Amino acid sequence: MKAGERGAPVMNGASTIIRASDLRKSYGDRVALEGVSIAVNRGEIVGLLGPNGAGKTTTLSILSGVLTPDAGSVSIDGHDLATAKAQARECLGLVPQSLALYPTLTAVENLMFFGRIQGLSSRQASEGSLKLLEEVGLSDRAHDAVEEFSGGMKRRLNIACGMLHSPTAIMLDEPTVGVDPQSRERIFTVIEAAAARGAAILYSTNYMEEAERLCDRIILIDHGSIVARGTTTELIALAGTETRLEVTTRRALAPGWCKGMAGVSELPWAVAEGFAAALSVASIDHVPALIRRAGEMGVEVIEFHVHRPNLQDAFIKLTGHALRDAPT
Amino acid sequence: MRTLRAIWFTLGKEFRLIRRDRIGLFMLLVAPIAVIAAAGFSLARIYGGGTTERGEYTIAIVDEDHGLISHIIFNAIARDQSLNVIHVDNRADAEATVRERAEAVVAIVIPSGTTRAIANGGKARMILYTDPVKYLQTVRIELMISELCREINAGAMDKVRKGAAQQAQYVHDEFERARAAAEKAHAEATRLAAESVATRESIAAHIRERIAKELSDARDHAKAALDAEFNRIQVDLNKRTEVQRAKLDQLKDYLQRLKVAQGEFENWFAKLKEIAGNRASSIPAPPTIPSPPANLDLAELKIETPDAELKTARQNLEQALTVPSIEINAQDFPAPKIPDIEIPSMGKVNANLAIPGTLAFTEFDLNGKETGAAGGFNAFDLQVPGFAVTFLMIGMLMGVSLALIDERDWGTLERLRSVSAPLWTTLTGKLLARFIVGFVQMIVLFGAGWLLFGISLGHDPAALMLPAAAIAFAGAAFGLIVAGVGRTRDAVMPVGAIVIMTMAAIGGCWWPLDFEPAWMQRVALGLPTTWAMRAFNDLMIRNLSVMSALMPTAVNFGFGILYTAIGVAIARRRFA
Repeated sequence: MKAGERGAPVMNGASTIIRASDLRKSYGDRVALEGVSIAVNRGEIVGLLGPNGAGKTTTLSILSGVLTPDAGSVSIDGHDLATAKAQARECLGLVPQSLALYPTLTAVENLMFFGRIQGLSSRQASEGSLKLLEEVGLSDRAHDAVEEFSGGMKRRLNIACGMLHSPTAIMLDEPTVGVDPQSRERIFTVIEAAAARGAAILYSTNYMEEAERLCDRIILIDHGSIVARGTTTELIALAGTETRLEVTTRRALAPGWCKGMAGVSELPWAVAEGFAAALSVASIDHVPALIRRAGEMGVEVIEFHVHRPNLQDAFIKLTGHALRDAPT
Repeated sequence: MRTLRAIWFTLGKEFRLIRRDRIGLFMLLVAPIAVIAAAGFSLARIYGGGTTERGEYTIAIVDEDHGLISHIIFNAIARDQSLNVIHVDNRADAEATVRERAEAVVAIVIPSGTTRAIANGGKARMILYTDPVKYLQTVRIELMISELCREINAGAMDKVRKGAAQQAQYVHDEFERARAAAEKAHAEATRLAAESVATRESIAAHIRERIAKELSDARDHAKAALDAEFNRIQVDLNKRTEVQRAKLDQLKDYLQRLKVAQGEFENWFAKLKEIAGNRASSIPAPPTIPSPPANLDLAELKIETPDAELKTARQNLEQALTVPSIEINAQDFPAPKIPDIEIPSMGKVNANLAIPGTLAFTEFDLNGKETGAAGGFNAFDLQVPGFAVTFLMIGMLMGVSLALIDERDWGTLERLRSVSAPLWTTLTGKLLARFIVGFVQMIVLFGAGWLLFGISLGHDPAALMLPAAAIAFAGAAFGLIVAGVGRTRDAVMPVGAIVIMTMAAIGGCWWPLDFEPAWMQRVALGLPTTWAMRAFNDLMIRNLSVMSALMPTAVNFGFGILYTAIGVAIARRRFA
């Protein structure tokens, strides 16, 4: 299920489950969040995408009530987190970035505890635990101590613990860090299933691919502020990025070698070895003509690569740096 | 060279790591200093060190004597600035000050008649009510009282000794006078003895002279008598010998002639036979003439002395030799004159010199049982609750604090903070779990102490649960503070260890609280371990009722509430 297939997000009204307005949080002189507003609707998966230290975890911590904002307000399923904390938290399921499990307890015991403490009856917790363990593929390890689990299994159980009480708002903070592809897919399946059941999901990640794969909408965050928000297409469009052609040649192309070609412009490019050039092309249809032009100039093209614009490009365009290496 | 460089760089790096390891430095320096200080200050007085404060020891006194001894004791106690005195009216009240109110370490009763008994040479005993738990203080006060008794006994004896010395001097003087008189008498007797010797010699000479004279006379008389008698006998014997000698000569002549006749007869008979020839054989044998005895010497024939004559001679001789009796008249010896010897008068000797009695004390413990000096108790009565509390504190402090840090490290605390149940429910659950574990731990340890070491559980063993519950609660709550102060597991371990050791040491878990100096005992009042140990000691050693445990229990629950409030405040700031 791709973004947009679950219908257009509704930003207000009864279907908005997670709502944060103008959040601000600072630690001493360092501002962690500034003017962050977020709304996640029922059944919607919203990605919070940003590099490490961008403010994703702080945002999720405030939205889940773990941290108190310096300013701004949060409501979960219509309950103000400041004034109706208990009701808001009942609707909330947090999957922290770090594992939040008791290592010496079994998977079932962990689930039972978190289910019971969230107000489920023993029967509800028991039935829900078995069902969720089945969903995350851990039913055969239900009675094994968590400390015996692999990293991926712990991640899956970690998510299950946050979802056992069927929260209407689920917040996942980089839940796939360090997991194998198989576990990641299972995690995605569980999250999509929860969204399909009507939960509003806020998914924090710095993996562009995950956001593109899973999220209906994406919020780009950097240095504690929201840089942009929208669907993947909207963000790429918002950043104004175009398709880029990268070519490697046997000898250097003279500057302005593609001058006069419509829809094509040279980009600054530097490589340590060999000869290469980068071009911005309005359409992939320009590629054959460009290869021909190089040949006409006596330069043989050894290799070329067409790079379609993505969220990374949009992020770079909007922030000036990549998702994985944000300056602190 | 590369190896040395590697070692050098490693060394530098290690020192940088050590310098930045505040916990490690803390354990290296501050922790041992803290423990050394706690143990050193606590035990200083055992080794004779430490200082004694004014009024540090409180004693209760019941004066039933109201005499000189009481006066002396009060004066002596007043001079000792370390003592604070409570005057009580009766023995029951005195016991209560030690036992129930714990206001005094020792209560001293000076029984009625103490002064009189000592004055009359009897034995008087004070009564001491002591608290075995306050062993060192009790020993200190007992030593003071022993010294006081010794001083009183020594003072009384000194007084007697002075009187005896005066009497001895008087007697000595009298004896000197007697000796001088005796010496004078001795000299006089010596002189008399010398006179007596001369007198005796004079008497002896006189006697000898008289005896010699008498003997000489007797001898002369006897000689004359003998001569006369022997002459008479000689004359008579001569006469008789002449007669007998004549008769003997006739007999000799006869025998001579008989012998000649015998020869002639034999010759005659031989001629007869010869004449008879053949008829000789028909001649009959002549009669045999007897021969005189062979070797007969007629000259040697003796003539006997007549017996009657000799008898008469003997009688005359005895009469002649009879010595006349010698009479020595005693009046002839002059008797020596006995000199006048002055007999000294002994004067007036005080026959009423009385030896005073002695003052001692008898100690009774809080159960009314007479004990020896500073009567002790089963050491396990102190060690079992002491180390039970120590390990309870370890379990509580480490358990609660490490459990909270584990929750944070495992990430579960973050999840719990996002759930509908407030954080305090999590903390309460944790505290409650640890409290129950600690409470059960205490019960098990006391049970084991009872079974293995025979500890006393007091009159009401169930009462032990009160202070056990209170210290478990306080310990668990303190763990909350430690968890907030120690940011990591590595920080909690040393902080917890030091806190536990210090609390246990100062709080009287490892040794009786009275070992510690007064200022440290005041500090100890701020520790839950002190109150727990007080309650356990009251119930187990002092055998007090459950009422005695109420206040320590309440104090420790108060500590627990305070610690909880502080712990929650820190936890909110640290974990929220």
